[in-house]
Amino acid sequence: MEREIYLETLGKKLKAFCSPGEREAVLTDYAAAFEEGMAGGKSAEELCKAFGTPDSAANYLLMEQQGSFWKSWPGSVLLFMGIAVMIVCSVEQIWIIRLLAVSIWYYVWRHLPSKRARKEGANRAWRIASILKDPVESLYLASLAQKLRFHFFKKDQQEILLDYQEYFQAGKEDGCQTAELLTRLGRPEKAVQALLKERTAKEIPWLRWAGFGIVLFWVFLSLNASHFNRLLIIDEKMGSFLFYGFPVAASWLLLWLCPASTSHMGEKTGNKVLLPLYIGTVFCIVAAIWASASGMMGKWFLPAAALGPFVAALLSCGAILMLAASGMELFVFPNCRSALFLNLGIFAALTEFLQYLYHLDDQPDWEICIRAAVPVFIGLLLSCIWKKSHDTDLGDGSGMSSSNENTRSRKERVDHIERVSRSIQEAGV
Amino acid sequence: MTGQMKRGILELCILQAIGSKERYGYEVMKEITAAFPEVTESTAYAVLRRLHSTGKLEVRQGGSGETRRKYYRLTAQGQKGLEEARQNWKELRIAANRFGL
Repeated sequence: MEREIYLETLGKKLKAFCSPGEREAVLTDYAAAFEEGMAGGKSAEELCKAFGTPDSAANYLLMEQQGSFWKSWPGSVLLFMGIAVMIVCSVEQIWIIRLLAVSIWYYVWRHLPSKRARKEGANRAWRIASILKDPVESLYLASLAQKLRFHFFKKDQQEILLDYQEYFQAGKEDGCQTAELLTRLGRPEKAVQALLKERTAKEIPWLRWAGFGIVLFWVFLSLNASHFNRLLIIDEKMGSFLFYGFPVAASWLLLWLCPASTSHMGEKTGNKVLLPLYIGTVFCIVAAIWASASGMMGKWFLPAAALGPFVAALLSCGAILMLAASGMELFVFPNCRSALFLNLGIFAALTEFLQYLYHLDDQPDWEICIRAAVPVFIGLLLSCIWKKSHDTDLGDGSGMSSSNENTRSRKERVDHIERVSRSIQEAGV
Repeated sequence: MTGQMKRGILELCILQAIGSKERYGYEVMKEITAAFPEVTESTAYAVLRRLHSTGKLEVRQGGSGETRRKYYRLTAQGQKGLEEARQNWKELRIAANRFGL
């Protein structure tokens, strides 16, 4: 493939997720890399092979963009602003303030991504240089880095990648070809699986994040807890146990069980990723039974409640489940992150219904329903916007594929890169 | 070989391979995969990394310039772990021998 055709095809592929300015910057980088490579005595065809097909190069850029999104400040700002908007929408009773909060989030979302992309441009030259150095090794390391994300702390990820780089270097000094080293190392996903089986609890990043999550959960309850406060006055022990003690204890137990499950139970089921979700669901069912039994036994009972403590307990557990699911989407299932706001919206709606059950608001039923529906609607809207902006699937362009489709397309992208790395290897570049 | 058994034996072999002297990580991984062909070097690396995280091994950074070299050696805890593992292995072998294995 000639240089001009390569750049033109790459430009078309980049249209799916880059602004014109960003596209121009990427193409300029690639043109410079072509010149540098040709000055170094390589032919245009060799360089095209070294860069990978335009498809794989675009996929690689997209993966990098998604990977560095969470590290860049606009990404974090958007995430925390989104969560703050959801809290405001569920706590604040004045409609205009809810509307204002969503509008501000939308404005920031519209204007920050281009700054983010410019910042990422700084890393591109290094990446292209590393591709020129050894494309197969670079793609292996990129694939490994992609799979290590969210499973290890940043410093551990860097250390592992440095160790692998050192391994490649030592292997070459030992007279081995890259292909042989790749065979000896095994596929990147197998390497990550082995690392996950052997990691210790202190190396699990989401244990630390879970601590922050529980504190946030506590703060959120304090902010939006008129009904919880009422419970504390009526029955201090039961109220504080059910609404503060139990979620905290359950969360910690859940989080301490998960590391054990990833290394042992996962081996038998072969589906390690879903284990935390299964355990979380079991906890929520136990919570429902426990809370219901406590409620029916007497102490935690409010005569004014229309549907009784049983429904209230289920709603509470549903709310906890929604929060747990949000946490998992954020840290364990990166492909489902777009559903985060929807879950938080449902959580807010459940708290509205809880409030209704205890007659803490003297408002008509229809208004309660609208108040419950608003956060769900806003959550759905934010989830759709989020999905459209960050999970854009190449070749589709709609960005509105289902979660399964998204998972598949991501897997396909990674498989595609691996296929390309094999073909590069066969080509002997 | 089951997962648990493999993990235990790999741990013992890595500790034994490092022994009293300092060893380069690449060498240890190569040696392990030569002895256990079904084990990839990534698996050996993961065990090596766990032994370091749990304090049985310590690391010294060597090399110069762009060449980075990571050397592993046993700590006192690692030495103790190796002795215990050797003892367990000896007992296991004696017990298996009784059944004519």
